[in-house]
Amino acid sequence: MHRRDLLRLLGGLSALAGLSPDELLALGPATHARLRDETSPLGFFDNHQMRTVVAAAERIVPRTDTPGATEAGCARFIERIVADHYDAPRQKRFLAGLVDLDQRASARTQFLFVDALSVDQDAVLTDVESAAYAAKPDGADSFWRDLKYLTLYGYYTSEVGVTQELKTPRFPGRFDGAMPITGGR
Amino acid sequence: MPRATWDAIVVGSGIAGGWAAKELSEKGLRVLVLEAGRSIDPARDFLMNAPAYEFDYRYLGDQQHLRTRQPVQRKCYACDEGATQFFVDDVDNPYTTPDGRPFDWIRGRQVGGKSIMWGRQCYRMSDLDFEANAKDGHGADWPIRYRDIAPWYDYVEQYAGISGERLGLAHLPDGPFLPPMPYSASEQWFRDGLARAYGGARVLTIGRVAVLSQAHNRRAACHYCGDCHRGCSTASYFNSVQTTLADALATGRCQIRPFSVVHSLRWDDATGKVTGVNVVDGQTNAAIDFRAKIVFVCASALESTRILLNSRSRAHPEGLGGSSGVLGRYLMDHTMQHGASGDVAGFEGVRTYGARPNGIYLPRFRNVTDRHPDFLRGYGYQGGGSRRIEGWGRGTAERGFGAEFKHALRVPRYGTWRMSLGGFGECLPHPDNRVTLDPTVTDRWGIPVLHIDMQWRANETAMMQDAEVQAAEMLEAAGCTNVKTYNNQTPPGLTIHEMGTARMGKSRKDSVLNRWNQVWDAPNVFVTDGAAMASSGCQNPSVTYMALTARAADRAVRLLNRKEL
Repeated sequence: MHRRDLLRLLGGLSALAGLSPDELLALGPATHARLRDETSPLGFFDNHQMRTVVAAAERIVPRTDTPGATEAGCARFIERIVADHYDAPRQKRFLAGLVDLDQRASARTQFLFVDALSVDQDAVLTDVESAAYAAKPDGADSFWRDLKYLTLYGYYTSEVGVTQELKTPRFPGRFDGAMPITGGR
Repeated sequence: MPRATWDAIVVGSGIAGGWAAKELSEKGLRVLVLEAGRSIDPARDFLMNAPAYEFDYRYLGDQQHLRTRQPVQRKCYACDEGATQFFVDDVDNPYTTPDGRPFDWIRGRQVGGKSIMWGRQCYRMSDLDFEANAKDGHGADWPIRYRDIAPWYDYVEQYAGISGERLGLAHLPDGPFLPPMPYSASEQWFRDGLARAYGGARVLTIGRVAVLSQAHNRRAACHYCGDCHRGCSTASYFNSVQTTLADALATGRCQIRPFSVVHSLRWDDATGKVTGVNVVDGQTNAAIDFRAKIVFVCASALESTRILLNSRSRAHPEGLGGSSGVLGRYLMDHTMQHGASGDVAGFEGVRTYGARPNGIYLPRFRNVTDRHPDFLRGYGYQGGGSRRIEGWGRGTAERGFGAEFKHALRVPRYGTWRMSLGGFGECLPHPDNRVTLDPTVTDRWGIPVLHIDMQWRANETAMMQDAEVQAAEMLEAAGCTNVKTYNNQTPPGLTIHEMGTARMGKSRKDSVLNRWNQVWDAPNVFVTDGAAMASSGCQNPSVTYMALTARAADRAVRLLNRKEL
């Protein structure tokens, strides 16, 4: 971890100046948690790419009444699949897609994607999605579909996704071939 | 190197080897089980119901490993991230095939063998099968009939625990079944429709499966998690580790030696017998010689034949059991990947719950009483009916994201009910479907490997077509709509019902084994797995291997006691 990255994680020195001692203390653990989440164990994504993936995934599956993609650790799963399963052209397209998020965010707000407000991040992602669906039916074969698939797959197969969002029973205990459907959950 | 001597050596620890170990040790013999692969501890190695997040690739598998080390094994549906460790490394365990004639050979090398990730379907053969070769002249006549094996089916099924429904069909005999698993709504509907349309000439039943529908033989009932192939913590499906091998070990007379790759059987000219087994230690490559009065070869159909072929001596230049010229010949598998599926209307208010590790079975109806003009013998169907339920997965293809999107995905979307039928067809025994030793290629332990030359022939091809058409006809007759058929013409092997190559027979002139599974040329050697099959039937064969093995073990001990071996 370079000092520059650490400062970026902390939001810059200027932000620190206005904090109370208690708030400064609280920043410590939070920063460490973010460091852990945003540092790639595989080394395929650099820290900025990892942070971009974390931010985009959280907008796709945000925290609501249940945790979102960040708490589910989606970015690490995404990195593993991109690194190990994708061939070189698809990896290149994925990394180019992350650059595209920054370019679109900068053009719109003068901020990189990770530093943009949520509402602007959403606008960028909507643009990316629209471009994908304009290029091919169902947005097939695009950075957007890869990012979204991996985010959803990573989220719903995570511990958070399985136990808190889906609440999948591990041991059904019986088979019922005609169980009445009782609405949603 | 000290030479250990045993009453019996059992080569292999899967379905057949487990039964041999249990029967021989329970009857008082000191038994050594030689297993080529590692040991298995269910508490550590069985990953039933391990959630996706406990795996690096969340069930998507380590594709690079699969591509480089398991390019054949990965074709099996069960070779997923929770079970890939139960399938062999294709690089360490090569085999060859002729150009343009692939054969997918799926193998498991560990204590328990393929019984850990098998399909668990159990159907008896009948005299329709045992008389088939004699009647139409393909293959050599079986030396046994149903009455010879029926009590042994009873015996092994009683122990293993097979859930199913009694039908009273002569050509698919009933057994001492545990209560049948329930049908789904569309299965029950199709069953009724079939009965209306065919009036009993074609019937549907729930799969007969070695999964416990109630507690049985000190094992717990199934909890319907659906992950059998990863190994079951509650021992609710039959596998040799948690049943036969455990009981064999409990006698105190049985020992299992993992990492024991059997090269060949040792023939002794002086006594005119096999005196033991030549083993290569799987980890050190050291050569070891184990001795025993009798040997049960239960290494899986093709591995057993490979051992016989590698057991060449001056007395047996074509391999042990090779004097008839049929060793390695008459390889069979069942055809599959041909059938149809259709939509079932209604049942909007219900869905299935739980993962039933079983489907339906539609027993053979061709060439039972009538005579089909295009092909001999017949096929049955496996399949099932369920409702399409779209959960979060639909979100990957839909537009949108964010909080509202996430919450919308919480409500499942219920699609149509479907009913599907997939044929499993009998393969005629043909001399040119055969295995030989590859003259140049050896495996990681320096043992010559098999060259497998097999193809579907005219009878199988005609049968596949008929099974495709009949599946559609039955679905439509019952009232299905949107019926779609398929016939994928997959190469042999992938059904993993490979059989034959050391068949039983009435005469030493045209078979390798006698009616007790003894090698004609070496009567203290018994081969009781799929290699022994003289015809394939169309039924999933494992329960027949269980019965043949228990029967042969009983015979072996009688002969030993009479000092006739």
